[in-house]
Amino acid sequence: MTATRLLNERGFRHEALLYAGMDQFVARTVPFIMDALEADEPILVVVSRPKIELLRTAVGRDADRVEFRDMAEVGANPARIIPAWQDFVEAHANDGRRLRGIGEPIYPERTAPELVESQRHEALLNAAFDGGPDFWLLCPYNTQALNPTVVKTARLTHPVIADGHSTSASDLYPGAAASVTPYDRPLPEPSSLRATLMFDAQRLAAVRRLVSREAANAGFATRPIADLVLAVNEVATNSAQHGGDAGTLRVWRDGGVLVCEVHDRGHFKDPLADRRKPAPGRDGGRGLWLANQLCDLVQVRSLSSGTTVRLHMHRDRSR
Amino acid sequence: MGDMPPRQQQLDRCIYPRPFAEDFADCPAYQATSFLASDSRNQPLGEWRTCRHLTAGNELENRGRFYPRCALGSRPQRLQWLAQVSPARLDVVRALQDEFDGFSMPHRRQLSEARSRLHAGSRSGALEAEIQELIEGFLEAIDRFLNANDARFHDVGLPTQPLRLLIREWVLAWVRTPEMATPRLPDAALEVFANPVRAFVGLPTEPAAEWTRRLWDRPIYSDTILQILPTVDPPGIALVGDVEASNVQAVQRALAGLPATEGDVHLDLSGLLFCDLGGLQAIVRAAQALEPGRRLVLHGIPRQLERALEIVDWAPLPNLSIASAATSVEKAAYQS
Repeated sequence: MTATRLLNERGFRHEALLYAGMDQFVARTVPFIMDALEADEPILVVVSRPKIELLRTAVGRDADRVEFRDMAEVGANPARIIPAWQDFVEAHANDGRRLRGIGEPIYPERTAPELVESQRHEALLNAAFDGGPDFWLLCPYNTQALNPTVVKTARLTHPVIADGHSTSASDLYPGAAASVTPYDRPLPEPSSLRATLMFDAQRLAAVRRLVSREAANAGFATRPIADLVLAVNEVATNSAQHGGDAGTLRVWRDGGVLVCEVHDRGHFKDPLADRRKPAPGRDGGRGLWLANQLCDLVQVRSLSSGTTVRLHMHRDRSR
Repeated sequence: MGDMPPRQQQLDRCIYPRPFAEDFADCPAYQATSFLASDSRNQPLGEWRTCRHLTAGNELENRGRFYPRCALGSRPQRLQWLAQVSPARLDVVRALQDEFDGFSMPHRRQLSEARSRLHAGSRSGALEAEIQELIEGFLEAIDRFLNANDARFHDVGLPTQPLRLLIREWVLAWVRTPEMATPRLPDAALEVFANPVRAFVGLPTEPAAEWTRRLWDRPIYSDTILQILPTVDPPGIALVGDVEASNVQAVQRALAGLPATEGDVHLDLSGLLFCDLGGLQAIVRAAQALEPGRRLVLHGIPRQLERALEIVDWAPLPNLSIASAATSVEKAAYQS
């Protein structure tokens, strides 16, 4: 791949923007927004609430022509971000204009599992939008606040890197399909378990009861308990139907987070399977999508050794 | 002895193996409780695990013989009770009771010991003062527990302020009354609370809203977790229990077999304890299959199912109508 192809104006342009501190953030994103407005290109900006306020002020009168969304709402669970971009792309599919976006899914407050999933999300963006309509997506990385190794992964997941002075092709970017490969490996083992249960299609009720009881014991309120039970049941149902007819449920706590893991011997190839919105007329694939809407974080690893899905629920989430 | 007819009078028999295993979870209404058993000479027999709903029933045809009876009644009645209490609420209350038992254990033990000295006759100013101090320590610990878990109690319909007063009275009465059992979250005192809590402790409740008249004795389908019943007035079907992958086909068949008469078709979901997306899909497809002008009307849709329907965004269908939602957990009519 050549830099000229990567930096051209057609197709999906996935660009990491490095900045240090708020002033640089504003100085480097506002021109991008202004260019979009001048060219009458639709633009969606998904960043933190304080940054939205800064950008609104800086853009001024025309800020109402920019669609802003709070990353804490859209992307607390990073698997919900691609569907949001897809909605944006579809809404303007027939405009014939290039689309622009700014999305900052990686910020210092992310927990370790959230960070991994955010990085995996950055890699999956390539597979999700490559070959699609003209769409220029800028992903800001705060070099002042983030660990240098985290900043470095931006070069692995983005074909284009900009740092305010120059824009160039990333020499580390391995291509759309290969960029997700580093995340196709087993997740770290939990230090201690609360419960383990082997199940099949006849034992789904036992799965639900175990999850409900563990969530209640961990101090959850009734609504998140019901949400978690529904999500785990859907994932376990997938295992019982497609994952070698059986699965294993493991439950543990990680601080104020309850993690329910469903493992089976099945394998699926589509890495975007958990981000496709189900239609009532279509069978299958809906369980993981629903789990992503109900849970605070869902980690999916489908390897040749089997498929593992971890559903995370915060006890003290505000929703 | 000829053929034994099914014992009509034992529909409330507990069918599960006892004593209950520590991880017993087969019965969704199961509520573990333990007591210290002793023999006729007051020698301790150890701790026994039982279910708070388990009682002794008297065999009708053989007076003097007993069978394990579920106080909640027959299976349909048990499922109705569960729908009213809601499985998640049941688990939260169970967890709160366990935590109460845990932190209160040392307090109860100390107080119990001082109490037996008091009732053994060794009344003195010093003992009175000691007991007073123990009571205050216990009540403070209870206050801390209630404050720390205020949101959880509120969530299940138990506002902590009246609960605090009830527990205080219960503790004081227990110390003064030699034959009174050890204090727990006081079941019998909970009658000031709302319907789900009243149902939980087995008190009579205001009758639950009935959207349809269900024909319990003529089930269309029945397995260990689900009953599909015909309804009249209005005509349709009722789903009672759990809909999941193992029985969703039965739901599809029942929905497809709905009378092909004129007018709307009614589906009573107020007894539904759980429904997965496959079940939801079956309902939505049944609505889609109706000819224009007819509707599938959902009655008593549980909050959780309504929420799943919102998330997958399948609800805006011309043939699907949500007539009434079940009393949601959020709306639990606690009277604070």
